[in-house]
Amino acid sequence: MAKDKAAPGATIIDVDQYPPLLDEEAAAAFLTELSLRDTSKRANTALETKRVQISHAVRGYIEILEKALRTNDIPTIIQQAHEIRGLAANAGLEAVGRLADGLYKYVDTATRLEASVDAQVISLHINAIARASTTASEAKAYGEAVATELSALVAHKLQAINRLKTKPV
Amino acid sequence: MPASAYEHLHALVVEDNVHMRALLRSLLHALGIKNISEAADGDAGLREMRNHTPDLILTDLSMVPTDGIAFTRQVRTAQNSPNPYVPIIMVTGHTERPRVEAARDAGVTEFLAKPITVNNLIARLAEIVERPRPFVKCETYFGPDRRRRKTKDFTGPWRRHDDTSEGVEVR
Repeated sequence: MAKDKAAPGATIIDVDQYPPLLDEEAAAAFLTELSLRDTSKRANTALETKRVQISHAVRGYIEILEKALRTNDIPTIIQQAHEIRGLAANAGLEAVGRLADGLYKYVDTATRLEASVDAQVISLHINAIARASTTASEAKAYGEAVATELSALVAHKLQAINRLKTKPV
Repeated sequence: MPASAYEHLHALVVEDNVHMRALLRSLLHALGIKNISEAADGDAGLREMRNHTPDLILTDLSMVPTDGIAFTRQVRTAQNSPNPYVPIIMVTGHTERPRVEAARDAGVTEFLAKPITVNNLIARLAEIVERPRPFVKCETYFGPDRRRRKTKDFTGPWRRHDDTSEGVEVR
């Protein structure tokens, strides 16, 4: 019955028909390595070491972002928002990451669609990012709430831009 | 079992942020993968693949000029791809669902959500070693089978000649 509904058939290439990632012995050895407590401890130490560096990097990006706000440097705002949204969560600054993501989506979309950007939306985001990055507890209490509010604002703004850009001439 | 059995394993990290690249390199190294190449975007990733054919790839989604979706598509379908079957783990953060779906449809094997944790990375690596997936080749797709589990409620679309109303395997 289903065959009657089938779209043009796909060819299935089984796992034994293409080269394996590792042969059986190496795969077993690698899986054993992954399951060891020492391995995961070593990796967590590496993660923790990098977390400090990432946190410094995020704060550096935020400084550039604040400077770009003062000079209305839109390309730098887009670039720094992109860097922050990718890194902040691994510095323990999830709300900062969400705020930077909203900022990036708003400014990048508006710029690509050649719509005017609302300076207030940008400054609200950047001020919130700066404040939410000050301490972990501040980031959680303030950042999460503001990130939710601002993501609704961005959604509303992007809808307006899309409506404007798709309006028949 | 001697560690040397998998010491040749080679990973490629494609990521535009230098700090995230360093983080991924450091984690992979700690997990026992010693041969790691890096690239800052999809184009550089393809060039790197031709120099050192990797056994697995970790790629970011948003990069310029060539993002993780275009990169994955090239790896899977380019005539001169060094290894169209290579497992690709995509590292995703605050991404919209349509982009993640596009990545899946470009042939990504696994997704690793940010913030990156050791347990999640171990789980993805174990998954690609323990449960390699068949590949599907059709007019519109080449990549790992996207059906991960059986569902009796599946009502189509029926894409395969062996799909039956008894339920299809959805990976």
